[in-house]
Amino acid sequence: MTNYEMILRYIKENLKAENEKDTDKWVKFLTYQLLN
Amino acid sequence: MYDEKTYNEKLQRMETAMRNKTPDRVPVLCMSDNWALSYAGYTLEEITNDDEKHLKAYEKVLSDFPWDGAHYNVLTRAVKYIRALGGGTYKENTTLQVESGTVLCMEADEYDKLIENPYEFIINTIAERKYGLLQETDAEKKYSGYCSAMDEFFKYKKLGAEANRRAKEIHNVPMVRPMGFFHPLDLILDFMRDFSGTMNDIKRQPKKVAEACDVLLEMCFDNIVNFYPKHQTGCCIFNPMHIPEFLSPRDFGKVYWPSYKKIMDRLSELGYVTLSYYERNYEHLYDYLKELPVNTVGLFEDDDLRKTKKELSNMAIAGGMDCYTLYYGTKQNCIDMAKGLIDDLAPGGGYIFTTNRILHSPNDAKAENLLAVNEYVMENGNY
Repeated sequence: MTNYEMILRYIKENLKAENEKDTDKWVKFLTYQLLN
Repeated sequence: MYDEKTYNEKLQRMETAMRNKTPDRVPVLCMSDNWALSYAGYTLEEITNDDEKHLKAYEKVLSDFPWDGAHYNVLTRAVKYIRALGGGTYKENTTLQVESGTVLCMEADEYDKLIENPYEFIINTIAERKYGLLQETDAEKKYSGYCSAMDEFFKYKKLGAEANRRAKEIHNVPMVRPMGFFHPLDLILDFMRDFSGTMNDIKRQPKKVAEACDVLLEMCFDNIVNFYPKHQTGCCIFNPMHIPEFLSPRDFGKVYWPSYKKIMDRLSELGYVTLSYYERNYEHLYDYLKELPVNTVGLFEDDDLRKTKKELSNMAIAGGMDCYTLYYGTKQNCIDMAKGLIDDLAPGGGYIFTTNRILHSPNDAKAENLLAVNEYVMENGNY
């Protein structure tokens, strides 16, 4: 499992993304939060 | 204590000034960040381990000085989240700051990968190099660790919500910074290529740098509209700018300006106000900044604001109260400076009184001087 796949799993299981648009929104948000 | 009338007047005052118009009085904006810790008598370590102390430190600044709006009421970074990831660029000394020399985690020849898929590249490559947790080989252990880190992140967001509630309900101070973003090239500078790497890239492969900025811009823009879908009265999107002070106008025009102008135009068209924080001196870039849209506020550190106001009539101006004077000057020195700012910058509107720098270190301001200038502007800044 790549880190990207792990984050997709987190989005699905914890943020309850229901469609591609939701998933895309969270991918962008969580990517930004990794720039620390 | 919350008072609807004065609270809304503060918001309207901020809104009018930020839209480059004339409010009833020059608004007084709080740009105190880590200074709150030393002022309240806490260390960074103490507040990161005690949420109540964390809140109290920032609340003390809101309660002890008069303000029309404030930018900070918690640390700007989720420290425990970053700790749980096991790395990061922010260093915890007496204040929380980016520390150069710990940033480099992307090679000069990796721009194509960044451009092709910025999300996969940042998550799989940059973040893996940056954080110990993401180097974990046991997938379930790594996932569990990431879930714990995110728990810390959402606790931090909850703390921010509580801080906002207290700012409003207890201190009657609007928090006017609901959203922020870094320009893509500042993201590359601060979190991927470090200073020397970024400066070399700008010289050696400017087209790649500009292309990467264009791609990353979409992430910045989408995060804003997804999580702050509509402008709120009196509020602004905060955009601290780091690298332009080091760039010639020619290089700025090649690598920074196209994407900067693009996002500022898009945000302005949607009715947002953006406050760009121009760190150090930007006079060499005024020919570009003149082209920025309405709904832009410029917070300038070292520029001559009298000249800035004349040349950049397209934007509202914030700042001017010199931190050095606030710490080393007498109370009268500080009041004289505040009076000069009001006399010269308030006419015509579009001026927000605040410090010329974000207050971080204990010697960024003396409390009695800060109180004196805020009271002076509150009493003498009427139109």
